[in-house]
Amino acid sequence: MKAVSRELIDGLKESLRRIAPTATFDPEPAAPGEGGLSTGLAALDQILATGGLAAGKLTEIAGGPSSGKTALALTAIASITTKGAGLAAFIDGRDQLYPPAAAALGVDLERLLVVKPPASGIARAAEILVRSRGFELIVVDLPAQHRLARSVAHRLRTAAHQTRTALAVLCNRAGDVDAAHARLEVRAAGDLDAPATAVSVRKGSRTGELVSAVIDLYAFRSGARAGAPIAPVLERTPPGVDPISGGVP
Amino acid sequence: MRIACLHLPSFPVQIHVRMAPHLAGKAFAVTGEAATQSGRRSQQAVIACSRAAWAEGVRPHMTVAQARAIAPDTAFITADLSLYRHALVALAESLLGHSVTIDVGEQYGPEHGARSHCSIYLRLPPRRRAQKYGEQLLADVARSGYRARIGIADDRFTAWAAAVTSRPSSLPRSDSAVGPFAQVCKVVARGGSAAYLAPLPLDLLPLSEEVRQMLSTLGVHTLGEFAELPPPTVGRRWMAGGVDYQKLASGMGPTELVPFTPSDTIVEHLELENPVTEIEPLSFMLRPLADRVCERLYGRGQALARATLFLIGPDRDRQQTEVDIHPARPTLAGRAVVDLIRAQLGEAELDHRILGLGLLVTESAEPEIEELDLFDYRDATSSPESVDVAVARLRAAFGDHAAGTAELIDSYRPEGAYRMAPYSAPCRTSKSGQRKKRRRPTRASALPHVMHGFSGALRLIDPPAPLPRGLRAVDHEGQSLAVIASRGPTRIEAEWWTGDPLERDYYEVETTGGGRYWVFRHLGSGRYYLHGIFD
Repeated sequence: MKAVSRELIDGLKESLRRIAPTATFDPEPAAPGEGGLSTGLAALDQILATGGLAAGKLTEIAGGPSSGKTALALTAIASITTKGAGLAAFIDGRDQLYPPAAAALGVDLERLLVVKPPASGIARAAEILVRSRGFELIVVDLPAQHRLARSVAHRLRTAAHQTRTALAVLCNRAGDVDAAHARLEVRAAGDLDAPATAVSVRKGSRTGELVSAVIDLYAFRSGARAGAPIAPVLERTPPGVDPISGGVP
Repeated sequence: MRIACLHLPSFPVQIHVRMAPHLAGKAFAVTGEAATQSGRRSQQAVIACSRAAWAEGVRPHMTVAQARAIAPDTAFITADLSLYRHALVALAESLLGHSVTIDVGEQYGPEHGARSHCSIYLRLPPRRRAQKYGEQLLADVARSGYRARIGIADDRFTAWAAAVTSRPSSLPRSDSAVGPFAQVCKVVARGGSAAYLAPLPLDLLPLSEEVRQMLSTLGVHTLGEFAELPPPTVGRRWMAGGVDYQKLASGMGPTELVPFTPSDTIVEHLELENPVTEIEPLSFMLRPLADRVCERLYGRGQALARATLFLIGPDRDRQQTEVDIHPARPTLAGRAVVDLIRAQLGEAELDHRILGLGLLVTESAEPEIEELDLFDYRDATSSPESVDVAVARLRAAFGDHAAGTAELIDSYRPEGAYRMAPYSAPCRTSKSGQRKKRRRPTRASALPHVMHGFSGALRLIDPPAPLPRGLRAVDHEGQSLAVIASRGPTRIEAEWWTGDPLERDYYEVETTGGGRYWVFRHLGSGRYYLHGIFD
């Protein structure tokens, strides 16, 4: 029955190709960059070389407490689980993920696998998930004072490349993840009443240079319609200029 | 309506080989109280024998002493009627996908003796080509580990006779090496039962020896000759148990089938020739076990939702390891079941040798219909089963609660606003294009009361960390950060009707360095606690 149905589908596709040779069976518009998963933040997608978090690559998202790195990762997960109806996984190395907050940011919790391994098992859990090929984005939240050794990072990087899975690692300090393809440094900007986040792309930017933008990550409030345009760019710094210090880092 | 007879020659032998694959190719015979044609039980005799034993001269109905004398190296296994009955029912279950009307009869029941062969009758679905149907049936039965012959005809007796007497067309009639082990499908043309039965020997009818000799004396040797005899004019008729033998021989036998309804628990066993101490070699044994279970479930129109694998040691009572398998979605794929078992077993350590395996279905559910998408743009290598296996591996490595999905709960208490649940597959799109009803709320409207109105991604610190200096400084990750601004309070006062009322004033505070934290003051004690970080 299953085989017959598949034959039927293939036959239909073939018939449609004959009628309209230029027809495409991909309902998703082509991504701005090749192999990029949208972060859900148009401003950030524009400055990332692949038009989003790169599939098959290891991306480091570094920032201290309240920098906005978790919001950035959850916004990307929301974009995948809600718009793309894909699956994502969050390896909660700090045991601090608060699912109601993730839901408030638009994450479809049914499509998010939450893994809570011990600190020693984070890399292993990540590899199991990456090799399963079942998830479009896997976010690893490294505990504070924890870094991913070069050998482990290389292993995960290879696995991600082989399975075309986007792997993002959240850490406190830039450089905690060796061998990352792209590095996003996230810092808090604004104040308590108007919080904002500055994102600097130090590796993996479209121009190959340091590119930064200050983004209002918190514009997306609970009750907002999922998929609505979010994160307006508050300020765009010229390439090579650090948004916080104002000088070349 | 056509009837197919699935004839399983040397059924007890096949069962023992299926359960203990190392018996394949060896000379052995099954012994027990064989059923006689008169219905009485005879003494201990050979009920069925393997092909190797057959080649050495062992035949059914021999006494055990005779068989030992002819073939001293032959092993003898005592018949187990309940085992055969269970296997017959399991096979019938797996055939329910071929026909909804299956008659397994009373074979191997407690009041019946063991028989060499057994037969299952199936009613052919309408508009099916008999030859193709029979060949498909043979192939599926062979995949389940059985060798069978099939006869298809208008009535039960002719179908059975066709299955029993047919031989492969390429083999000469004198080829005794094939014996009862050839797999053949014979189709008797519609309305051609009498013509087909006519040349067959009279032995096919269960006549008593006395009647048989009398008929032989009269020159009646075939079913056709028997059918042409004039009907008896006196009270005695050629019948027994309400069955008219002359009608049988004329191709006008009964066509009724008693439908079989599966009700037993689904469990499959496998025995190992040598004890196994490592898990890796078991992988090869698991696939047939999983396939058999899935076939039985398929026959019932169900899929595997939960199962338990038993690794049985030499001491069955004490040395038994159980492995629970819980696929994220009901599955009928044997391979997926094996992958899950391997993922679970990969982390287990055995403290005993393994002599047998058992797979018990503890929960079944309706299978999900695979929705094919004309616009299939997903990566072909990703499959739901691969996610299931990954989750099973994570559970095996880090514990059952290490991987799951979050469910929101309507609660005033922030830390009680969700719970972790076992991972289950997300809803799929139904045929109408509408998404199925969600099982649990995930929308903002279902967020806990405390979440309404605040912004940002909150990391929750659970249990809350005490702040000795109150709102003046936040101690976090070994650092003490001075508070430079705060907003609040937002009071949560609820659950006063419980023994642990919720009385908190929540503040958003900003510290030096730009950190934003979620702090509350417990109204009862007046103490401050750090409950979250906005990140």
